[in-house]
Amino acid sequence: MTAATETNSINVKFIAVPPDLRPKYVPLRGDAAAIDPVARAEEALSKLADNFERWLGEEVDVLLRTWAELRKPPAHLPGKHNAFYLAAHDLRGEAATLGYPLISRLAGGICTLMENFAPEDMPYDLIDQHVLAIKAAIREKAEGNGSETARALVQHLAKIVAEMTEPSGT
Amino acid sequence: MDPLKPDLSALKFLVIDDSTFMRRIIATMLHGFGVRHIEEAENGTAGLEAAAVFKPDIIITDSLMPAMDGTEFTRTIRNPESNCNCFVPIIMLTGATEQWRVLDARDVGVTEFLSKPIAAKALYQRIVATLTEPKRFVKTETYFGPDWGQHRAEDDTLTAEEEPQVHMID
Repeated sequence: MTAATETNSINVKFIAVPPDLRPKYVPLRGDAAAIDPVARAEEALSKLADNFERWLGEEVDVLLRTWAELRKPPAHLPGKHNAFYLAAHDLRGEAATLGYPLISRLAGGICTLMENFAPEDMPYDLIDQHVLAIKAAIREKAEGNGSETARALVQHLAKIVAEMTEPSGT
Repeated sequence: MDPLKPDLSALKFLVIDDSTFMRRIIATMLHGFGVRHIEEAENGTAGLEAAAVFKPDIIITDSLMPAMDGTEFTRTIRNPESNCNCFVPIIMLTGATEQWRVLDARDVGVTEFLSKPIAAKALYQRIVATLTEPKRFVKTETYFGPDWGQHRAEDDTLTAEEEPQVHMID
């Protein structure tokens, strides 16, 4: 593999990326060019949508299981915290993609708390409220923006998390 | 040439995510885009092995994963001594959008950054951008990767204020 390089006066080398990819793709032509690839992907995704609730349920089960483990003695084991954090982080990204943004926000609140507190100082009761809210949201099938009550609960918890984690005066 | 409609059927994609569901969603999107060659891995360690064997043209990786996360994976790939193509475009997907995470990802050499929820259109645009507007690479004493100082003006994910100080050596 060769790459054109150029070095400037402050010892920074700029490298033109070897053109390995360009020969591999060509513009779509004819009938193929008339098809919108994004629309085709969205259509394929819509066929998967019937699975989303079950998939999300399985992810929430992981969160509940790791939370139960974390709450068992002995306390403050890094492995248990990491497992729960990873479950919350995954749920944050996946729930939004699967069409459950309220659950994503609740999982994000858990992540924020865990990133801002040491295990011995962690506000476990507040995390527990997030976990219970996620359970309620999955039970109520809170897709999209959810109910007014669900939105109010999520906003309330988000406000508490912000007050506890954001520097005062900001 | 319509830059939004390249034929992706000859390109090889490696998808790395610890969530089976997210891998399935991403693979479904890619198939919709016309991609035919997809390899999957469940963490960075498995991703490195797959990259060495499968020799992907584009890598799509999650950020936070057990065993080896997306940041460490990218750092390893970008090592010019690695046995993989150190220039391979890496698109990082993440549920976490805190600025420090974005900067971390950029500082280890990701090519594109995309936050969850993943939309088909946004992913497609990132893929097309890596093909049609490849960033040159820059090598300094502390960094090897895409030249982010060259990023496209229309890229709304990363602002000019976020540009890392990796291009200058005092």
